[in-house]
Amino acid sequence: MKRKLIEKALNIIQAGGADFAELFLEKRTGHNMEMNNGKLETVNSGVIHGVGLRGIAGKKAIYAYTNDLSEESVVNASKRIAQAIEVENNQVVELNLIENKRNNLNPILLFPDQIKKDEKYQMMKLANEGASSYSDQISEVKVNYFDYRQNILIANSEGLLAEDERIRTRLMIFAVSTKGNEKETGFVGPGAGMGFEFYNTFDVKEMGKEAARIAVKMINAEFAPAGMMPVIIANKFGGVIFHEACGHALEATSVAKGASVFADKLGQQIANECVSAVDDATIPNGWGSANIDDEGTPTQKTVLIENGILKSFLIDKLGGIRMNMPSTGSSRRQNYTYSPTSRMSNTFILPGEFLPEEIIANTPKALYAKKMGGGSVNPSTGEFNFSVREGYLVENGRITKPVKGATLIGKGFEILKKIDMIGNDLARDQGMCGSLSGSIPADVGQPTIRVSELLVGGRS
Amino acid sequence: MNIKEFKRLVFQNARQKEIDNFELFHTSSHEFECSINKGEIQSYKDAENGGSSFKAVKNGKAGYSYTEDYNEDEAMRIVIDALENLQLIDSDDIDAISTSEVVIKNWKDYSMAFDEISTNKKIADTKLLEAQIQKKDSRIIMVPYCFYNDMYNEVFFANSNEIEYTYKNGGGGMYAGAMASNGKQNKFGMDFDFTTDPQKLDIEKLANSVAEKAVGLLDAKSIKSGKYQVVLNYNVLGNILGLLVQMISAENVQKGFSLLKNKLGEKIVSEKITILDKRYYPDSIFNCPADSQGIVTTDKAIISNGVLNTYLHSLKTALKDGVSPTGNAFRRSYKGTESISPINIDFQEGKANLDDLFEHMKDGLYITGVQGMHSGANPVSGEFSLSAEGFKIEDGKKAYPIEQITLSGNLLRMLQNIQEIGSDKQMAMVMSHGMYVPSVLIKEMDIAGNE
Repeated sequence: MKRKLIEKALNIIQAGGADFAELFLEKRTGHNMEMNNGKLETVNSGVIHGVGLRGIAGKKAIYAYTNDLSEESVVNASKRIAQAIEVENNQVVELNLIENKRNNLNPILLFPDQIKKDEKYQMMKLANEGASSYSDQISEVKVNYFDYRQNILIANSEGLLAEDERIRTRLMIFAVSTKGNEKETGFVGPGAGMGFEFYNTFDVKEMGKEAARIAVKMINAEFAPAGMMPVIIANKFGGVIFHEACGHALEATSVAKGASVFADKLGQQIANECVSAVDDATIPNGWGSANIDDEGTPTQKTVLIENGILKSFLIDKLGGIRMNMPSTGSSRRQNYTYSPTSRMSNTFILPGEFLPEEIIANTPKALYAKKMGGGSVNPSTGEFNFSVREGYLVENGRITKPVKGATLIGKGFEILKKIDMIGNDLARDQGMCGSLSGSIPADVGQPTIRVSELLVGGRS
Repeated sequence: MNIKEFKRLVFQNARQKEIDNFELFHTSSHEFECSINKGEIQSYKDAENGGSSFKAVKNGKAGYSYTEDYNEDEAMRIVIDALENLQLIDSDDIDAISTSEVVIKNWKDYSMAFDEISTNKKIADTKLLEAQIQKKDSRIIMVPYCFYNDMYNEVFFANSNEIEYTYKNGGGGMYAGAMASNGKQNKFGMDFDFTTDPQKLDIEKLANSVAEKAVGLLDAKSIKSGKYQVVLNYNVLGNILGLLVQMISAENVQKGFSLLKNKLGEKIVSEKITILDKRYYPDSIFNCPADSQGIVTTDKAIISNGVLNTYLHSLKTALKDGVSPTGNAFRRSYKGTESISPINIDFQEGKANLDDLFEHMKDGLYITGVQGMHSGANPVSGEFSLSAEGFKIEDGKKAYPIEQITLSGNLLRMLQNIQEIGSDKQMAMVMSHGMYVPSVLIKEMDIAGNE
């Protein structure tokens, strides 16, 4: 898009009365493949290319997007925003767009769009082989692969002009085990903000086996017990518990409205002293990393909780205006069709002092959640739920039998205070996070933690 | 470049590349959304976009490519890209494109009625909804979500067998969520009203419902773990039926991801249950005359008196099973490929109203909300364990609100255990297709609580 048109669009929005005008131009090429039981079944690829325009006047935000990038269409979208703002007599400030360059935190070695599709296919074959050869009880294996290259340009009425390129790739392996009339499933989904070199960082076949291992373990498991009990949650995807139970309620989206249980708790003890947590979008090549956020603000590492004390929220520009606080570089969106808002990037609990086996040995009776599934939360009540993908009983300090079908529920502000042991084995895992500005890649993570008491929804 | 011109170029390129069969699927859509918080506009979106997907089929293998850019280069790129993609396919399943002429009969496109309403009126209505909710009860401390939303989608389909059609669907509505507090506990209630006819939006009714849902749950407590009789309200049943929707997809059946494999003609659930899929349901925003593959949609009984009648098919799954496609292959977007989905699920209602169901249950639980369907429910195993809330029913009457419990079970066993079906059929909040279901009484379900 020509610089003149960018400036024209921003000027129209400002002339309509906006205190702040912004343009987000995106081009994304994506590639998806699906393999079922070793046979490649679907291959789809393509390009999206569009622009999102935003005007903020006071606390009001107006958004429009189009993928017709002609001058007429972009001008029209800008005019629609100007009309909707309904503020008069605003002065138009002369625009002086200054290019803002940041060192690339996410270097790419092998661009996925330059890798032959056949190499991606061969890699999926390996994943399938690992899973399907694991056990006779594995009846089906599905492998999904995707990668994309997203190029964005952001310009705003404060003179910002910034660009970023995000490359992401992910492999998802889904295994089904069958025993009689029953079926169970196992899943792994490693991803990164890396190129195809990501698949040099682990053994793809072993990853396939891991999905199958979970499916087989669970088909031979009994249902989890029901009721209140201590719960030990293993590292990696276990961090989804912090993401849901606390992270979402720290986003400006709900804090600014006062619709979060943590809205008035800054500087207060909201978690047990052993808990410290961060959101860090600057981790090189992280799944949720970026050089700048989707408003062009450089990303940062934000300490959310330090020794149990709430230190910061996750803030975007609009949230910042509403809360009278600076942005934390946390503005994200699925693509140009979404207005951006405050979101998590790579969010995790920091390591503590215990060995994970020490935590287990010190627990007479508990549910051990080795792999978590997804979850969700209502930030205004703090009520959350998570599913346990792979669970075990802990009896007398020992992991005993596998259990399936467990769900963990509770309230975020209660669970944070009940985390009473934290391991030293911090590790992260990848997920997709859905909220107001769409579905975005986000890392969750934690060391092994123990929660003194949580409601386990199993079978009685 | 307009879509007809783009199509002409793409088809010309496809023939030049000696592709046997191909199709172009195009949508253009418009979306409006505004939200109000404390009487002020919180967000406002007015937008349009469009895009196309090209599907090439050669020797029974299909490849796809999509674009949002309409120019000569893209008209060639998507053809080459789709051709390259199909050459990788090594699945033995045969894909095809539609050969039967699409005659769209007895069909009226969405009237675009929401586009006739002025933006100012939509904003004023949203403000009114927030104010109405707020004043229903002094314990309502906030309305964090209050939205007006409308959209339309225009589909253009053309393939190399000279099948070509367009249709328009869409609609709009309002939804809101309120937060109530008694000083110790916050409770959240939400509801929605979506329709093809803006005249049918009832702000007063919606405000009442949202407020009641939030306030009604105040002072909720948990209960003892155990087995309980339950009444699931229509929205909860609609959500859990998401599992059934995945199980009846022929694609999932053929790939071994469904418990309903080899169950056609067998009784799979209680004989009280009949479930239809309808191409048109009054006021549904999901109505459509043809699917995304050039197959005319039809009304069909999926389950009749407990017996499984049919799976839902695409062209490809129908070829594999040697049956006719059912017109259920949809693309949510040109960016994706077809997936199998119902249009409007119509779960046949019974005679009992909600009070009758409570009366017949005597003692048990009335479940009004569940959370965690996307993680706590497994469409392959049919097992689910969900966070739930609602009311304790004692002696046929609402006794007190309950929270912090889980509701667990297996979908097919649960549907086998349905004792009675309510008469209160309504639209459940499901985003991908219509879901019209009543409340039901179920003999026994597993509940975990912390009392």
